[in-house]
Amino acid sequence: MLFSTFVFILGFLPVVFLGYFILNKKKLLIASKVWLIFSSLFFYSWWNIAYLPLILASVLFNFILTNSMLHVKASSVMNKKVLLLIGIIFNVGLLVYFKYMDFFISNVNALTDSEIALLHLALPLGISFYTLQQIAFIVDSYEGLVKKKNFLDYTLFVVFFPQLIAGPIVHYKEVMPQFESIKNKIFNYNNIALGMFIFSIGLFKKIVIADTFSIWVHQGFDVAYTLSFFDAWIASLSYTFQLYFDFSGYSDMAIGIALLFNIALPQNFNSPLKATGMIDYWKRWHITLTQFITAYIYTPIVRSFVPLTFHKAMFATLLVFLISGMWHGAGWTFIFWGFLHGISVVINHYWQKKVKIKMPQYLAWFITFQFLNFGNVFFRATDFDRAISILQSMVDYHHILVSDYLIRRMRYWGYSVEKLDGYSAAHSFVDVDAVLMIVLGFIIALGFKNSTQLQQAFSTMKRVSIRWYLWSILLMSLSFMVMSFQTTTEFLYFNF
Amino acid sequence: MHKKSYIYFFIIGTFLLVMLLPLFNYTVDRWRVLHSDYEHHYAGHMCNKTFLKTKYVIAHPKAYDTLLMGSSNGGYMDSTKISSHTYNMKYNFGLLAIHLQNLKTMLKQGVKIQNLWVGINDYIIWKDPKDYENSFERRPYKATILEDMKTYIFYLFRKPDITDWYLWRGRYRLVTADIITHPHPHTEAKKREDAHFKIPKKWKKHMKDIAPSLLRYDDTSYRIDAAIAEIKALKALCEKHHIHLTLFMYPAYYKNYILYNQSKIETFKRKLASVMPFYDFYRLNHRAYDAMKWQDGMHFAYSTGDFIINSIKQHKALVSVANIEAHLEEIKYEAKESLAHQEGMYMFHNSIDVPSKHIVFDLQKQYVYYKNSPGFTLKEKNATLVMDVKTYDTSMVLAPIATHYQKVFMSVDITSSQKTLLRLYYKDNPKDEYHESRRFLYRLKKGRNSLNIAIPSRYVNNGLRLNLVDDKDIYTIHKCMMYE
Repeated sequence: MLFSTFVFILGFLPVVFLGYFILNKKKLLIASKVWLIFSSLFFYSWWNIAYLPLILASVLFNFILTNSMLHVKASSVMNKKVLLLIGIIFNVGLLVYFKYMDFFISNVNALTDSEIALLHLALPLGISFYTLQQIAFIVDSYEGLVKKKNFLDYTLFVVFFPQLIAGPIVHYKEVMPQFESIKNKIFNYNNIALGMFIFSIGLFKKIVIADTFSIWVHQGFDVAYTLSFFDAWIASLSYTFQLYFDFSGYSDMAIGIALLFNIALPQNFNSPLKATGMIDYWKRWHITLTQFITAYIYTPIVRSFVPLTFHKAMFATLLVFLISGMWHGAGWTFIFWGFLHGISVVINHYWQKKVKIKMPQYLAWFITFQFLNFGNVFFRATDFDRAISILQSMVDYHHILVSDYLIRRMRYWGYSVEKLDGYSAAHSFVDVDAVLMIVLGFIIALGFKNSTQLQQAFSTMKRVSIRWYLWSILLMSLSFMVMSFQTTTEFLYFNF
Repeated sequence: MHKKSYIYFFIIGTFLLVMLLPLFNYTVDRWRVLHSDYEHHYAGHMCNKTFLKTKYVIAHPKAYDTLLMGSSNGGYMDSTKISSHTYNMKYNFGLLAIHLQNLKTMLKQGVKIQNLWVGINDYIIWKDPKDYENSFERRPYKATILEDMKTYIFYLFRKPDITDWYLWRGRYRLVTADIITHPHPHTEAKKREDAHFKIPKKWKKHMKDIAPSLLRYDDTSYRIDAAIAEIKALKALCEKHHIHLTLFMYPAYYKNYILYNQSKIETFKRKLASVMPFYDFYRLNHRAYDAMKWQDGMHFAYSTGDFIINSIKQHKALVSVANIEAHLEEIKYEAKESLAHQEGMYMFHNSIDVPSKHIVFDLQKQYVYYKNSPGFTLKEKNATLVMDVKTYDTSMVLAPIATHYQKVFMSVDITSSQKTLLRLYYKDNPKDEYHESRRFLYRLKKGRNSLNIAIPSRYVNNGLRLNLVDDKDIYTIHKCMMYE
């Protein structure tokens, strides 16, 4: 079930919401948790019930393992370490098996000229996210950061539906105290109002902005070899905006929904497209993933380098970005994308430490944005040939085409378009709509406050002003209108 | 406002704003469905004829004894010549499956008829009726509460576009029309056609030739059995309600006919004949070639409409299981003979038989002359040729060939991993230069492409230039030959 569908917004969500608070009001606190767990599992099974046993098995295994850790004697460090290793191997193994098996097989086939049959396993939804969340939990348990837990709480922590499929990646100690708090068991109008407000922003980002960009992304990346100069730019910029608005829209909706249940999820985006450097970018983009990678991959690697030098730290940086690239998808283009980002972060560090020249902000932003846009071509393209072909088109300014439709429109508006006669093509999507939408994308991403800033401003208000009210209902109703006539697409991060 | 009030007002405000969309769509009602308006439509815009006509007949259950069903071609048939109480149910791109659905609905709602005439187009065997469910112009009427609700939601919550804005602002007037209440050929339209067909003979050859109209024909998936099942269901329904069913196949313009897979149509006709007799006007006879008998690539003239009605009344062109094989043989022979003498350069489908098979050029055997051209290379691999295109120039100049017959036929079979263009340049005189104004162009699709081109011999004698593809890539050529 997608957040951006009527069945979720008008059916599932109100039922779960009312059920949860009715049970809490009757002081059936365990029943309310069970209700949330069952609702979350129903939500998860809506796509494919076949995925359900896997997530349940994963939850059960990790609970038993971490519970064993709690009961291992404090002196028995070795046993605890063995359990930690088993846990990590199990979770990573599960991810590798479902996500990377075919990738490995096809590479082995290519290298050895063999013909091992591919497994064609369907990627279980959300496996990349709930695996990370559970690894973090195992490590926290190993380090003694989790003191007590029960199976119900642990299951709820993993499967709580707002964050189950694509994050934000949360820690046990962040979420479970909120579920335990008695004041969070009752209706909180402030949180509900804030949740609805944030949800409307997220829904608008997804339905009206990201899904509109997806049209040009498909048109462009599907015919990667034949793109003209402007078509290639529209396709790549559209993807950059689609990726941002799609994923940040999803995170806003998740945060908004969780707030309805009085649960505050962590911030995941902080205007990443305003970044003026790649270090800055990764502090703003998918923040909970960056925090996970820093805490659970980067820091242990760096700690193992004794003595630690700047170059070793940079090597570790590059390594974690390669892992990050691989986490995003089983393909060489993803690994290369990770490599590109790793190298750019390393260069950024060198620049800060060795060159020490402060670049004008606008230039820094421009370089960062262009780099992101070019890098995203590898992130979206299905193979290197297509990615390179699109990048070539983006610099081939001799090959310019605009759509037939644009020419007809301009002629209709009374413009003289004879000079463009040789430059029109039916397959080109260079049109007023695409250009206006990209301009709008820049204005919203760069000129407006982000959801977190708006959330803070809204929560500090005692009374909601008419302006804020009108904006929120406008965003919500526009999203509903578009939803009524347009099939919504899956969130991009569901595939990662 | 307080946050508690905000929550309530948020829900109410959102609801009210969302309701603006159906309100706007209802007010404009571009296809006149929401108002069930039988008497008006927007000037220059089509209403949903199949929906409105079905609803109209249901509203007048005893007014007609005969229904004429079919596609837009039915508009060129004067239904009053069938009987004075005939209602023409035709609608644009009409499909039998939808007409069958409409008939079921009408009979269920108490409509009484004695005769049913149904015209079938060739596209019945590849056009999927499901596509119509999401077409605003063709969504059928279904008289159940649930379906009604679905239909209203479909029209009320649709995406408005610039045309709706113009309609709302009154840029296009709502005009009174009788296309639903009296759907007979309009006298004015007939007069215009008569004037058109009185053009002196000497001008005829200067008239621009009519282009084919393929309606997104895709020679990959067919639904012959589904079409036959629909006809069987129609026949059973008619038998149950004691309705005399007359089935006929519309004629096609020759340029359309030769581009379609005739072996599939032949199979369909054979199966159809085993279900029930039908009248067959779909063949390459003089009517198919005569541009003066066609409004455009899809629609015939009123005179042809009259011809069809008269022929059916006199039981001419009737095909049944007894004569189907002889009939199909006759059609094949007719096509073979007429094509060889047809003027101009044109494409035709593999399934159409041509008179001769004497090979005058075969790239497979002569590729060594072109294998290291400036823009591409050709290599032999497993009985095919691999063409590696490095630049946009893929010209192959074919040496002049002395041919003895009126027509030469070229066959190309090529696999491409992307959409590209095939160009064939020709010259009126041997000393002329090749020019963009004298070229034949074909859009190759991604995947395997098989095409045949009939070329007047004089072009071959003057030397052709062939650009098999237009983009940098690696292509597999399975066949590229000419025969006379």
